[in-house]
Amino acid sequence: MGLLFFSFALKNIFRNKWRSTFIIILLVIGIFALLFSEASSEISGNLLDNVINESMMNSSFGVNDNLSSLIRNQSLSNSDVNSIDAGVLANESSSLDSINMSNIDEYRKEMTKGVKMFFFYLNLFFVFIGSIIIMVAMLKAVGERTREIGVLKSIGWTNLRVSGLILLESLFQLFMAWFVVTVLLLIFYMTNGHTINETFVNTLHMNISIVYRIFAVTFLTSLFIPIIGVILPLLRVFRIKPDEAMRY
Amino acid sequence: MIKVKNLTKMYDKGKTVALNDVNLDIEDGEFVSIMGTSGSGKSTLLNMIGGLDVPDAGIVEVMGEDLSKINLSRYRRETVGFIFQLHNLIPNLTCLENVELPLFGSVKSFDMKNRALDLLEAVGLNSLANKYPNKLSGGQMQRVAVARALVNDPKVVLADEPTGQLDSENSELIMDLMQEKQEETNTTLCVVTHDFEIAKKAEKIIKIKDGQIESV
Repeated sequence: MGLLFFSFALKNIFRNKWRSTFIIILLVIGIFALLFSEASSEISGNLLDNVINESMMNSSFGVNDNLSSLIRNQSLSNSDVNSIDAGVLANESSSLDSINMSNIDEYRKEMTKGVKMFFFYLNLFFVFIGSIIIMVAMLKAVGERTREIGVLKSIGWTNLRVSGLILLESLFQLFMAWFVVTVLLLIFYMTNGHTINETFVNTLHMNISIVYRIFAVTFLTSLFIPIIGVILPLLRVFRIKPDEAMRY
Repeated sequence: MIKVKNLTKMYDKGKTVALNDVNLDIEDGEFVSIMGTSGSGKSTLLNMIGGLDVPDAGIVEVMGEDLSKINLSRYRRETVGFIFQLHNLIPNLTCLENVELPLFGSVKSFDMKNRALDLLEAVGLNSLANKYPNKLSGGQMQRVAVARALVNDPKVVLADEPTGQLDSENSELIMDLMQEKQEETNTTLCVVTHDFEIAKKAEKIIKIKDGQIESV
């Protein structure tokens, strides 16, 4: 049962090879854009953390150094200054330090949130463009196959089943695009693996789980492209009446 | 078996009356021809009986069930088999897959294939099961369409000018095949035609003129 359905959807893709190839190429570009956006979001978040952490470390070290030198100087120059004075000074400076820390932490959160939001909207934009491409292609396909959809309905296929076929077809196109992306990335990794490892692991301190997360998030995001893209074509499928389609 | 009561169908917001208060009874296992000139309403009547279109007024009852009260997709899948003037095969599916289509969702994959192959054998095309429709002649394509219409063991077979695009030899072949299957399985067969040679093979000839039954 499922086999016929899958083979029907696959055969529909290869029916108009040029159009399918064009769509798959556009989807490949779209997936790369999504991957780039998602990776940029992760990397920039990571970079931001690193930069802020480093600056925090420097500033806190600076404060501690000044304090200790101040205490040291006080102890040396005035032997009457007791340990309570030093304790008071240390307490004051540590409360100042914690205020700075919480401010920086808030700032870091705000910055990270802003960067993430920017890339989230960029992803939305790519999904929107991809959905438009799929929508135009599937509307054309539904238009060309009006008679066939009428035949399918006349032999008892429900609207839901015909819609499933159209959705599966666009999902297949997405999977094919993902296959192309994976192959291209593997080729790129095989030729530039050392540089990539150097950049991601050593410089940006990113581990492999982050790379997996980037792919997983991009894959899930890209699934929205065919799902949103087929909404309008499916509405057209629902409106096709079998008797009218036969005269098409 | 099939009861049509006061059936009316209009198009263009009532400007064109395709069927006007039509009443008709067709018995179980009967072979009926519906004749009429072009635009007389014969195809519209067939579409109403087949649940492809809904009437503006009146009732169509098949096996005691009012079509306006049942799921039409299910009715078309389980009770009716359609044969069209153009074979209407899906060009990117093989003959076997085309015949399997009506069984999709109601029969297991293995049974689907076996039943489709049986039907293709019955129409003499089992050797062409894996060929695509564009490799077949017009007569062969229509035989595949007949196999597709019969694969779900329908109680009613509706054929809208099934020989309209065929030469006389192939027309004879298709009609003999349909009649043979109808007698074998005792299905009700309704054939729309304007060829009297074909119509006279039927037990009953219904003549339609201007959306009304002229004679039975």
